[in-house]
Amino acid sequence: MIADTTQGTRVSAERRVNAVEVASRWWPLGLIAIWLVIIVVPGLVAPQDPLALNLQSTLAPPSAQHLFGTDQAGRDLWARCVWGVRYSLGVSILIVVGAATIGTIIGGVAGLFRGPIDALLMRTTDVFLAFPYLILAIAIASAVGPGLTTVVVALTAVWWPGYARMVRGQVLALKELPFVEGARAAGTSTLMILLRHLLPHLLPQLSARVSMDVGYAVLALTGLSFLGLGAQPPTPELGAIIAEAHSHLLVAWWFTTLPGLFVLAAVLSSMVVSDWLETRNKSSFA
Amino acid sequence: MAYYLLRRLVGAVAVLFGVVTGTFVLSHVIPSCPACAVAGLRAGPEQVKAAAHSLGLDRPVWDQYATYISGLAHGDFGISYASRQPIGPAILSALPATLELVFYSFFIYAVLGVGLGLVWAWRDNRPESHLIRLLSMVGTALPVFWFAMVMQLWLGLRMGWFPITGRMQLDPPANITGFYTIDSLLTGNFPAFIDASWHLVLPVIALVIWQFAVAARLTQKSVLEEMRMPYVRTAIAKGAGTRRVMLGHVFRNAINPVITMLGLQFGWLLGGTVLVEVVFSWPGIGIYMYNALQTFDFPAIMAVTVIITIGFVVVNLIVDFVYPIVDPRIRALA
Repeated sequence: MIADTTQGTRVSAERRVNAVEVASRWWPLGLIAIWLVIIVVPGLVAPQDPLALNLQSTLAPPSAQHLFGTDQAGRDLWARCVWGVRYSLGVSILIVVGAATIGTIIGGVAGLFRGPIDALLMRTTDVFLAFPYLILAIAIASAVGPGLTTVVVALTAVWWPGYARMVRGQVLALKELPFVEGARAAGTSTLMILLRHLLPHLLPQLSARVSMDVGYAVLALTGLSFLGLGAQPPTPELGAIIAEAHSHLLVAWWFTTLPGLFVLAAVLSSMVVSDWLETRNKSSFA
Repeated sequence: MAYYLLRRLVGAVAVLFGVVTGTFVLSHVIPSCPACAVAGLRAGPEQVKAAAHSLGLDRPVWDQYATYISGLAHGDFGISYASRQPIGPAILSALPATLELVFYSFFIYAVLGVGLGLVWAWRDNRPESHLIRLLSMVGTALPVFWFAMVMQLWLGLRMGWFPITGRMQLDPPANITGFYTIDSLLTGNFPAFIDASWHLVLPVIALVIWQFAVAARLTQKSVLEEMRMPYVRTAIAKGAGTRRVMLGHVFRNAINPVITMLGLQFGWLLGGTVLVEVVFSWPGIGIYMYNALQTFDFPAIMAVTVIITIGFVVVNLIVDFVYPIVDPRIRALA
């Protein structure tokens, strides 16, 4: 009996240790989950309507009813920020995943085939990479006309060359390895070699970079929106909200100060996740 | 050596040409109807046609392209759609404000970034290094326009420590270099110097905080890598002090990638300054571009894009020329 109980406590203690260990190893996944919930069902975190005007309580300071206060049209700022995560972080994820996909295909093809395609690609990416991307995105966005779609196009256009470069380099190194030669000897088509044999080797590094770039994309996207090129009012996008706040600097400190914290938190999370993925990559190869 | 420099020069020209062509496509081909933007919202088809003709938009694209390129080669950036004034002089008068902001930021950020990166690697895994790591993470993650506004609100408006907009409150000093701080010193106008410097503080902090982390992280990585080299062990074994090994041996070898990156970052600073100028109403080319954006003034937007590219390409060319001076290995290779 006694032996049984001690064994029981030991087991539960072990289980607790395991839980702590699992939590310390996997907590960045929890971080991802929280942001995904906010993006998919913002209503869960912010029950109020981000677009509902209330001219009786414009520019009200933070209170129990309005956690972040209200904006110049009496809209609940907390709700606008939470919904803003969808437009800022959610759209940034789309941009970076899109750019990574395009870059991987083009870089992979260039790396496998070499020749004139490769040379043309490298010159093109030279021009793109040798340029402040914010300015290029501003130029593209202004020509296409303001809007969230425009910003997606502009940022994808300036982001894919980085991925093409990276993937090309890796493919060049990988394709000399015996398993690729084996696959080729077995009659596998080039496309299948790229998808089935090379892609799995590219993924670990790609995922760490994608996660880091999501943060940078959030900064770029909110910056373009701040300049008026991105989401148009009344869309609650974080950069656009901060731009609106600028004209109320004198009277509403919460309007200026609080929405930026969401941007900061989102970007920091993307860096933490990227760091985590990178250390995982290193330990699994070591 | 000559071959190396020539190759860099050709590369720079190619980038410039690519961007100029790109801006032409963006301003002349993609916009659905630039002439409508010029003629205004209530213009009829006749007026739009007239506007298109006066801007040369009804000529064939290749003809327009040739005009655009030859204009740029003569320093002619075309006519602004919004003000109907030549763009070149307008940008030229706004340029010193931006350059003053960017130069000070660049200088502080380079010293701070490289210095902190060195300490970060030197004190690997000690409290100082963790603090720098944290600082650089937060610095990178800050949206620069928001941080600028927060400083403007709390340090400017609330505390009253710093002015919140513009370059100067007093009358600007006589125009010699266009840099208010330098001009006021040259003319011996000390109050103006204090005033101009005071106005620079917040915008410069915003730009430096935003960028220093990149330099710090790269320096740290590069120095750590270099510290593992056998020659470092040899130097220590021969009895050279830590300071001597770090500054005399490691740092000199580790600084190369950092110099390249500093060149690239100068361009990013030029880009980021648009956001900071908007917040602080700093009368530079960033504000000029921002105003042009509000009126869809394509030639003006593209002119700023081209100017920033030129600045960027020139700085990177300078870096390429500095390289062989700093590093004898490149001199030997090239």
